[in-house]
Amino acid sequence: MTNIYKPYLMTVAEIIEETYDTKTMKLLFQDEAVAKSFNFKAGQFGLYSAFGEGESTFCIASAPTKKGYIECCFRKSGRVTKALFNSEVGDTIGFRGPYGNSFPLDKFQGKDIVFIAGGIGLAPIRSVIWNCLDLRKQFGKITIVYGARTVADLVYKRELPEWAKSPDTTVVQAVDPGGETKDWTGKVGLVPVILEQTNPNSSNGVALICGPPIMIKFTLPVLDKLGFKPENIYTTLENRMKCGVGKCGRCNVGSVYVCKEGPVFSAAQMKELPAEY
Amino acid sequence: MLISPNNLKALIESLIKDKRTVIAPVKDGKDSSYKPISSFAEINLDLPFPTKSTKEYFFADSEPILNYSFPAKGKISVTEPAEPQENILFGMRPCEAVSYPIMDKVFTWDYNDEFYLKRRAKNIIITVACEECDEFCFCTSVGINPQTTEGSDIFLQKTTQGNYLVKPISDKGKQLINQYKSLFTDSDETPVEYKGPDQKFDLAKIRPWLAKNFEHPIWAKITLPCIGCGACTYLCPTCHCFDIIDEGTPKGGTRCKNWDACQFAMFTVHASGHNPRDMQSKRFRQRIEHKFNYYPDKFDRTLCVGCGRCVRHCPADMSLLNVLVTIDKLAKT
Repeated sequence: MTNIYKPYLMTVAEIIEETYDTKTMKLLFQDEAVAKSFNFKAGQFGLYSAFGEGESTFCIASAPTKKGYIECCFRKSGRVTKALFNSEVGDTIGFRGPYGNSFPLDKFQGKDIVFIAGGIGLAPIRSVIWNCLDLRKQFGKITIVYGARTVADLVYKRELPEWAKSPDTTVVQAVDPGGETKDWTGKVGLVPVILEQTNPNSSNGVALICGPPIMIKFTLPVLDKLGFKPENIYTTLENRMKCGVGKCGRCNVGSVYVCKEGPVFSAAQMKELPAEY
Repeated sequence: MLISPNNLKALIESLIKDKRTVIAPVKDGKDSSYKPISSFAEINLDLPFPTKSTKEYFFADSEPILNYSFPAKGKISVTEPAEPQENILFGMRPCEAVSYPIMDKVFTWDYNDEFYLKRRAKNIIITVACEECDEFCFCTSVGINPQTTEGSDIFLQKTTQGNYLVKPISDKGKQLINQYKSLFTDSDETPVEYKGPDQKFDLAKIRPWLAKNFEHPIWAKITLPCIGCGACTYLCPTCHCFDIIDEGTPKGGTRCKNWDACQFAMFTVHASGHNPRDMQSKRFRQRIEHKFNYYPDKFDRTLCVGCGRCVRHCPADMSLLNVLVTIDKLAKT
């Protein structure tokens, strides 16, 4: 039997300060055999550990098309994330995964895709964005609507212009009213409002959405108004998790374990679940 | 197959002499607890039932899953924890033994939890059929009765002549009997068939009601007395939720799986502060839904054996049994 709770040891290869409280970490597998064999799909997550403090759950924020490393993006908010935040290049941390299901990219072939993200919710969406941009010809028009509370809260600022340069790809950036700076050239407004103004094509389109629960709540009616069908809207539920493997009993919504049957659900699937997420 | 009371005593004493760990219910003040014993005389099979179940011998309250140390700055060394020991659990009630095949489902679907499974493989369960119950027992309402042998390795049942009828259930059980063959006789006597508590609710009605009534005003009302202490979950032989935490010093430490409870507000709170179960009524509803709707939906088993511990020991008189009886009535109207 293998110890399913034993993490891979990872070397912190690069640290990028996304915001005042959020960092991206590039991680390399210390075991070369694992580094070669490790595969995952966009939307999957892992348990990241700062030894001595514990484990935290985040998505894998890099794309499966970028081999040999993984990236995570996290906000300093508790004991574990504070320790991870304070770690340095060259340090060792733990990683277990990949866990959960993924965004069904095979179903998105040839379709227009609109990505909608709020705040640090861009991290799991970014994995799919790079995945799609790296295989650009397989998909139709790509629209990215990204908002944060303030300019200082935007993550992946350096990558947003890069995405906009891809063929047939539109990037719309926004901050909440009051969150703009003098030199802000993006939009000012809440994500649901900006999405409605952007008016992405829904007839052959799918929408992927990730952000705070309140943003998702107000964005779903807009997607409906724009003509997106519930089965073509996908989100990723980020419930609190400890084991990641369907044992510890805290991430369930109804009889669904988010860590195993999720974290990716269509809006149609969400409608079948009790409203407890 | 039979064993006489004297030979049962000899069996337990022999196991102890052979340096095997025997866990059995012993008197503990007014209460009773499962403890390692050093003589047969310590065993108490009478009421009250042991306050805690034997769960901790299978799913440890604090289970080391790895040890870590810091050999140099930024470097980590990880080692595996020690293997578990065999425990012979004597005097378990039939309801409690059933809880293990029920929990096997969650600890083996897709990913195998080796910590639970290794203990499960090593431990030997010797169950003694009930001859009495108290007002909190409701095994017969969840499809179990004093003669249920599921989950036991060896099942003992008093006979009308005062001996014990021995039913070897598993290979582990048969092996143990073979090791002490001379203490058993190959004859049969009529067992005492105790019928157990009266049926208190109709299980078949509970699940359909729960599936339809996630939002029902009864939840807020019925769960008002609950203080969210989580005692019910710790005493429950089938509750299996856990936390994973690191305990140690700056030099190193142990990562443990520790018992946790769905009754605590922290259990589901997100890093953002958002909490899907932000009220005690939602947390109590989760416990009922999980046991009588979600778990049956997923694993085809009810996550309750009717041992009554959660009812017997609730400091707020918050009776799961009353809740189920109330749901049963609501389902009928």
